[in-house]
Amino acid sequence: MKKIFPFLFMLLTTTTIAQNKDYLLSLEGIGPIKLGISLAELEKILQTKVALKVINIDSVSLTEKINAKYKDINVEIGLIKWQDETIAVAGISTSSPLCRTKSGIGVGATKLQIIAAYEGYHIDAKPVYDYDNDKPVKSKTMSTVTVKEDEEGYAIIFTLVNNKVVSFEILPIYDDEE
Amino acid sequence: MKKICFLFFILAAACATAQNKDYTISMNGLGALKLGMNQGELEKLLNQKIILDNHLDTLNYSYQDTAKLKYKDISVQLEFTRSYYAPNVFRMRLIGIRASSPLCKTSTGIGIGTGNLKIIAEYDKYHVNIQPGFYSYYETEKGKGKSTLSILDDAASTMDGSDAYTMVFYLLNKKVVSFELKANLRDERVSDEE
Repeated sequence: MKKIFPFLFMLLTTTTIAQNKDYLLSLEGIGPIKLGISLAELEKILQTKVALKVINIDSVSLTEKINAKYKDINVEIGLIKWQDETIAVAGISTSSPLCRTKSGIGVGATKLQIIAAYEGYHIDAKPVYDYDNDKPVKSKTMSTVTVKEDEEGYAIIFTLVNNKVVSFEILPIYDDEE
Repeated sequence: MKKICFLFFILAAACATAQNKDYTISMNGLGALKLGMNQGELEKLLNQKIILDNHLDTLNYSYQDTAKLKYKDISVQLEFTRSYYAPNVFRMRLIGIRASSPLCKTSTGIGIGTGNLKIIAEYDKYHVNIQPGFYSYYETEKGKGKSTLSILDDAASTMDGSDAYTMVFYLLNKKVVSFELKANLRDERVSDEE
């Protein structure tokens, strides 16, 4: 009996570590779903064929968002078709509480916790504005916190309601796209 | 004796309050120094001539200029820009105030030495931008422990075209070491036409 417990403990620990890696949120992506990977690589990770409804059908549109199941979570993945005809991941978003950064930031985290966790990064925390006849109206509950390693490049945008993270998106931000 | 002590107390309290008001940091200025004031109004307020030469530089079309001077007991750096109030006629208006005096504080006590998280908590409903280094429009002074924390009002955040104000705190090891109040003002001529 005594031999079984350490074995079970090791098994449990290994499973937890593997699961954490699967859902690890970073500026590059979630687990193995990284920004920039090809559609073929994505299909391999998702273990399913992605049915495109816009790209390759509408000759003008070069971007598309798909909803997919990755392990135990639902994700929305943005795809882009480059000039060389390759299709790659250009954005990932989810609201799963299983996804967390190395320092434990995920659904439920506060603005101050995000800011404290990303010391030395470029951070932009702002209220969401809705527009009424072109006039901005500040939301009383919704806000976003954008974290970037540099002025331009990959970013995580956390969406907060009543100062708690409810979802997040990983995407590249260039120039004045914010 | 009791009466004299009481009188002194009232006098000291009144002086302290007046001094606090002189150095109160707000989105639109520092004490009596208000962003948007023109050069003439400032010269009258400070009782001194402000020399601005750079804005006459027609080679680079640099319409901005700065002046370092004394405001009450503290040193300040004032930034000016051209503001056209009639066709081809302009005056210089104050668009920036920079200082590092510990006498300056917001109405809630934020000033030199305040920690970054306290500022963010205090301005919870505002747009907050944090960047590594001492960041300015022109250049970024990089260095370990240096960061810039900006508080933007609604107009600055949405860039809706109205007068916009930003409070910038420069931090070293997460503590404020200096600050700058900035305005992005509409041309006076445009404001009048509307």
